[in-house]
Amino acid sequence: MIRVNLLPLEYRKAEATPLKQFFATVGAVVLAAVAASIWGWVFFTKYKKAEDDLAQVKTEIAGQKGALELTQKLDKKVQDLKAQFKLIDEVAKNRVVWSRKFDELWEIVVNPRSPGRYEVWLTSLGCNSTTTGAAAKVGGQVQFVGVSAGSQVNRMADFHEDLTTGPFFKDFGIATPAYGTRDVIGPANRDPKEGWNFNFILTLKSLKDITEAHAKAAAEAAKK
Amino acid sequence: MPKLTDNQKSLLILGGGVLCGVGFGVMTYLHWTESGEIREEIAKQQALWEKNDKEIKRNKGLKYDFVAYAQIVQNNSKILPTAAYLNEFVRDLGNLEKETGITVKTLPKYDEGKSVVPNILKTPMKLTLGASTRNLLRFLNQLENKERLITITDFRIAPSTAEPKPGQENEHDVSVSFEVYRYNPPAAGATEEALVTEAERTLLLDQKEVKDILEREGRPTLLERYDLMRTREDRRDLFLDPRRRLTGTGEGVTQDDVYTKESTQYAFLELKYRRAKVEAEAYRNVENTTDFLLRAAQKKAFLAAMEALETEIKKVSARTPEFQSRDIQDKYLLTVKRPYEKLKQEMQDLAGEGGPQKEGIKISEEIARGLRQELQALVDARKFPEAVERWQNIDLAFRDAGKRVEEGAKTHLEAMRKLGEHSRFQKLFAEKKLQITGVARMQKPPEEGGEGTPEMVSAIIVGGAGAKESRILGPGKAFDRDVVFRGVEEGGRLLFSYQGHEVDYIPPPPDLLTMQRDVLKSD
Repeated sequence: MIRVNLLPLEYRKAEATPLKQFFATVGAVVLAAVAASIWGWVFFTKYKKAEDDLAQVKTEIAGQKGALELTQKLDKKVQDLKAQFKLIDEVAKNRVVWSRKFDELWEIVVNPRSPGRYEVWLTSLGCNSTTTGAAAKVGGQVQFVGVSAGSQVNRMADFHEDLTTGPFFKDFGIATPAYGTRDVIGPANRDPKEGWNFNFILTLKSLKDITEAHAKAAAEAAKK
Repeated sequence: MPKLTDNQKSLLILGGGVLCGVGFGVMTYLHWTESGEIREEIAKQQALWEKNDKEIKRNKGLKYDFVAYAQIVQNNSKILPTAAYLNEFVRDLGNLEKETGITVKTLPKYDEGKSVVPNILKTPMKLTLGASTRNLLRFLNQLENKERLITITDFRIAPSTAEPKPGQENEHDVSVSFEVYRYNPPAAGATEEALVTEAERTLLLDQKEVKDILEREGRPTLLERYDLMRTREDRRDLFLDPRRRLTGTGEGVTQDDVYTKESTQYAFLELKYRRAKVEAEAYRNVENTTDFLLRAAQKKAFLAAMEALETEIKKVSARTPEFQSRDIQDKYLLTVKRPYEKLKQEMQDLAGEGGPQKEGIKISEEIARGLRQELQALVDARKFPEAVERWQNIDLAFRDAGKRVEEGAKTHLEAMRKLGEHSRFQKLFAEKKLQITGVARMQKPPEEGGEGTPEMVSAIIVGGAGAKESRILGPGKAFDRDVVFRGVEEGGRLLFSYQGHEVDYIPPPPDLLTMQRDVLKSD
């Protein structure tokens, strides 16, 4: 059925918003407001603050640069100085005083423990020490070729014994065993005519071991 | 377009609201996620900041280390050569050549070297030279004992095979390689050195932390130095064939002549050694007695015997080996040289006044007084030779006692010294054997117008032991360079001065007694 309202507009009953529409509008507004609030909270209290904090930390880090560079330079310099200190110390401690070794060897060659025990002279001598310092397992070598006068091999063995049992040998680790070849030794106007040619190689202990042994001996001597 | 129904409108409005809510939700999600990432970044940056901060906090400690180690390196690097030192060293080789007697054949060539650690360069060098073994050892020793560190890494000797000329040593070919660690300090004011200002450095050096490091690590780097033993100077060359020669020396002297000469020399040395040994034993026998005069006398005798032996040993040690004949050389080593060295070692406590003194008797005032009385008695009895000997022993005993002499004894010592000196002059004067054959004393008349007792004037008639004719000496007249006549005392004592010291005359015993004393004694 068609209903016709003939009343003028101003007398007509006001038309109410339909409830569904009203609730739909309210719901939409509330939803949008809540979502906007949550976003606002996230944006301002989390995101923006984090950005600010990050900027601040970055500024602070930038402020540290000068001091940090100084630290790095100082650190490098200290490492360099320590390396120099260590090297000077090692070089001074880990050197073989060859004049001492040569002097001691000379004494053994010309002055046996008891006179006449042996009669020896050298025909060549070479000494070398490692250039790699304390790290090397072997500190160096002494190699000499010589002659023991007399046909008795025990005289050469006695020389070898004097060589390897005295204080001279304390810095050495290995020595070639007493060996040689018997031969007639010139010139003819010398007595005895025969002798033993030998070639001995003495190997130094590592410079580190030698240094430690010397330090220990020095400490013991100081105690006494 | 048809009009929307209320339902449609409601749905549309609601849809709009949902869409808006979804839009904000998406944005919220995105910002939330991004803020999470930023937080992570902040955490990273924070960690970096903390790390940096930690590093920066090390600055103080590093500055302590820097100042301390710079100081240590500066001190310790003094043993390393510098570039200037190396140039000087090469120039200085000339002096070393002269000092040690070597001949430099090739001068060391060296380059800049390679850097081992910052500021320290390793420079290898090589030198070839000609040198006798003795001189080479001296050279190596001087090289190693140099104030700056030089490390010999290799040396090789190719000995000469020629026979050495008499009195000379063979020169061998030698190559010596060595390394120097050169210190190249940064120039003053260089940028890397400006990490700490000079004022700050001075301030930091006073800080406890720096002092602790210096104390802990700053021990001086000591170079081992070796002193060649003087006693080894007389060794034969270790490259020299020591075997006995069978024929003559080549200078017109036969082997027999040499052998006889060496035998005599050896016998003489052995005798000297035995004498020293006997004196040493005699000293050891008396060293614990309370008679310190006897001890002093024995010490004197021992030192004299040792000195005589040493002189002889030095003479033969000038040769290498000491004796050409092997059996004599062996005997010499076995019975003289080694025992002598052993004896010297055993009697080290007597070697010179500077040596260690054995704890001996303390010379008290009472002992000194007794000694003085004894010495005085000898002087009074005019036994001057005995008095001189006695004084020498006393003097030696006092020297031995050193500080163990009581203060009161020193007065007596001075008095005894005077007596000893007087006795010595009396003894020397007596040895002149003056023969005084007459004494004249007369009164000198006073000068004209003068008053008082007339002055007594004396003169002597003297004829020396070897004098051809007598001489008359008045007061103040010299008999010879040493002796001057002074006068005659009231009691008839004849006064002289000997080298300025007052002595009196002792008549010498008659010639017959002097000359025939042994004959009389045997009878």
